[in-house]
Amino acid sequence: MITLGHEFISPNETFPCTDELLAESADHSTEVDASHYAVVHGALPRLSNNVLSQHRWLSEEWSSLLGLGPHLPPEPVRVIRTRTRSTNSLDPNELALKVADLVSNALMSKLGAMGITLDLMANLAQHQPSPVDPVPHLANGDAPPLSFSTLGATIRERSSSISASPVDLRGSVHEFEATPTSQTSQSSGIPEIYFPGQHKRRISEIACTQEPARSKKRICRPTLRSAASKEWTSGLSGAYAYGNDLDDETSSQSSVQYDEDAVEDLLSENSPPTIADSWESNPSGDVLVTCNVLQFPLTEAATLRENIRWAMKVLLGNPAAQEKSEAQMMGILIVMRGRQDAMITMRTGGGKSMLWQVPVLLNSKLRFIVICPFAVLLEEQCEKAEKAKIKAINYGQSRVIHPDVQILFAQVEHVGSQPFME
Amino acid sequence: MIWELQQFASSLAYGQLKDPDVFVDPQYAWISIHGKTLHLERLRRGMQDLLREVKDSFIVLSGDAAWPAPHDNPIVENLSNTQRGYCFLEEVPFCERKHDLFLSTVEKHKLGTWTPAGTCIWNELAIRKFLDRADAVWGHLIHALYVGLQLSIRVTQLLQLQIRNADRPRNFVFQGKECMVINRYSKTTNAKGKDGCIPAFLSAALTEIFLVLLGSGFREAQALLAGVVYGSEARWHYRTYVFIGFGFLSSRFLIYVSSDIFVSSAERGSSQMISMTGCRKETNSGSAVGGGRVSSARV
Repeated sequence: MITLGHEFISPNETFPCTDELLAESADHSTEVDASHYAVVHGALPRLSNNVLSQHRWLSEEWSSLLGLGPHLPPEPVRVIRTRTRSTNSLDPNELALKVADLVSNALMSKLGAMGITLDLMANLAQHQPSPVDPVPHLANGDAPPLSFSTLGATIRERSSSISASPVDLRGSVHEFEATPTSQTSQSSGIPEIYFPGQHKRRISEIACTQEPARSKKRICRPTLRSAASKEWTSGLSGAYAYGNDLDDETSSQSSVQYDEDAVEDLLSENSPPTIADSWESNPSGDVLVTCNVLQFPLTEAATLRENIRWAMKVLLGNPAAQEKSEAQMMGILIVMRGRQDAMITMRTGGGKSMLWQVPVLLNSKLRFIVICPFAVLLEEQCEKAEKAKIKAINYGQSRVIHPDVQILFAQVEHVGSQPFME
Repeated sequence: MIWELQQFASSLAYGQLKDPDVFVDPQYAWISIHGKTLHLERLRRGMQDLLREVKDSFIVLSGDAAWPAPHDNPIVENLSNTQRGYCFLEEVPFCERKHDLFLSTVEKHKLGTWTPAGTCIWNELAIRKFLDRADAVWGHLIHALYVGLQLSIRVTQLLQLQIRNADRPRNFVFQGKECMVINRYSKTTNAKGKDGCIPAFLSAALTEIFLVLLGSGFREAQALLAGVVYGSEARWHYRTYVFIGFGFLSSRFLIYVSSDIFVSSAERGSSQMISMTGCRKETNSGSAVGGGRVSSARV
């Protein structure tokens, strides 16, 4: 028993040493109980609730180890610790990004107040490590990904009017014509894209220009270039960087305003073809192929994919992170598109969790209900989401669901219950 | 000088290491204890088998078609009630139906007949057979408790586990849908002159089974029938303690713990068997309450 306990059961941070602190300050610690109240009243000090909780936890762990639940049998402690150590090792790229983050934050706060905007994103994009060689600069002994010399070259002033207008940091302002014209598909089998309120409305032009269009709807889509960008984090992924400021979608110091609604329009309102549409268009094809989630024009899809990849980098803390497979990427695109039913099956370890984590980072208005049959897996996913500063809640642990909660994790048993339905 | 030599000799004696007795598979699939192999998968499968055995044997004995539905309403037990004889079975609704199973059992198993004068003529042979089979139901559960509770497995300690308040407060406490087992008597009780108070919680599966066996009146039926064949003291024992066999406090139940389903097939049939927790026990027959761990118990 003891050996199994050593190997499989390890306390986490569930029981910090706060058991006696409050009691001690209230003069009701176990020690005071034993020395004072027991003497005065002839009573024995009682087991504290925290002690019961600890033993309940231990009992649950032991029962789980025996296969009696409530969790799956735990992994050996040594395996967990070995994995944790390997993932906690210092990554030069991660360090470089953190330094860039610190530098950019400091400069932004100082220069932003003076009306000077630092276009860090462009620099970060230029120095973005390729997936093949994640640390080319450090490995070759060249300059680090960000240097003050390169930063200084990109400092430019922007007028307040310009900064108030929606401008893509990368300079990619996507324009849609109010009256779209017909677009010739590269392949006749590719279905057309539909816009709300119109029939067979097509995107006529996707232009990348710095110039504001007059009678055209402008959508600013800042590209997630780096976690170091405060503009980005304050606008697009507020849930990640500012977990307490979910409603604050614009930053007062930011020179860029992010139109999240516009992205929503792009992803859902402008509803590109659904799976059903695709089936109709090409009933003989495979679902994933005929679905063809990348019905956005090429540049748009590329931008969205780039955003998704950068969200993955932020989530995983790995600058070399990218999608595990095309299926994962397509799944995320389907989820982000929304308003269409989809059943996505992926193998174990295929990266299904990214399907709800990435969209939340890219669009803080999205809400997810994640149903998982295994309590352990569910808790793990909830912890991961919380680590990513996503407002997630485990329904099995708390029934109080704040409207700001972005991901609600629930077990299968909970879903059928009346309280959950309510 | 003598003191120092004693210290030195002790340090030599106690500091000397022996070969390891426990070896854990690097892949964590099995553990070797005293040369016997404990496969974790077999352990888990064995626990499931035990629970199934309890349910199946109870269904057969009770004559019902299926395992009773678990008690849905949360149990509120008076934790501060230390009155002798008290347990949660004294609370509503358990107290209202505690004789239901007894009456049906007497009828189904033909344990007695009523005379026109209103007295009951008991069939002692049938009662003894019924009690034996009922003990077997509890035996499987106790085996599961033996492993499922992470409490000490000393025989004397297990035998002292109480359902009701007696010389000591009860060990099994139900609150809500949880069953908490408070370990009181321990090997340090006599040395310290006081009991411990170590809580442990039964898993939901074990709690459900335990609650059904107690709450359905199964134990009460055992107690009443044991009173017929073994006397009134046996009746009190059945109502108070968990480890009851043949009407008295007995380590007889530990024979169930000797199951070798968790030992590798090569070990099957060995007279020296290893329990799931790694404690050896002798399978030769014996009697009475033993001291120390299971290994020293003569069953």
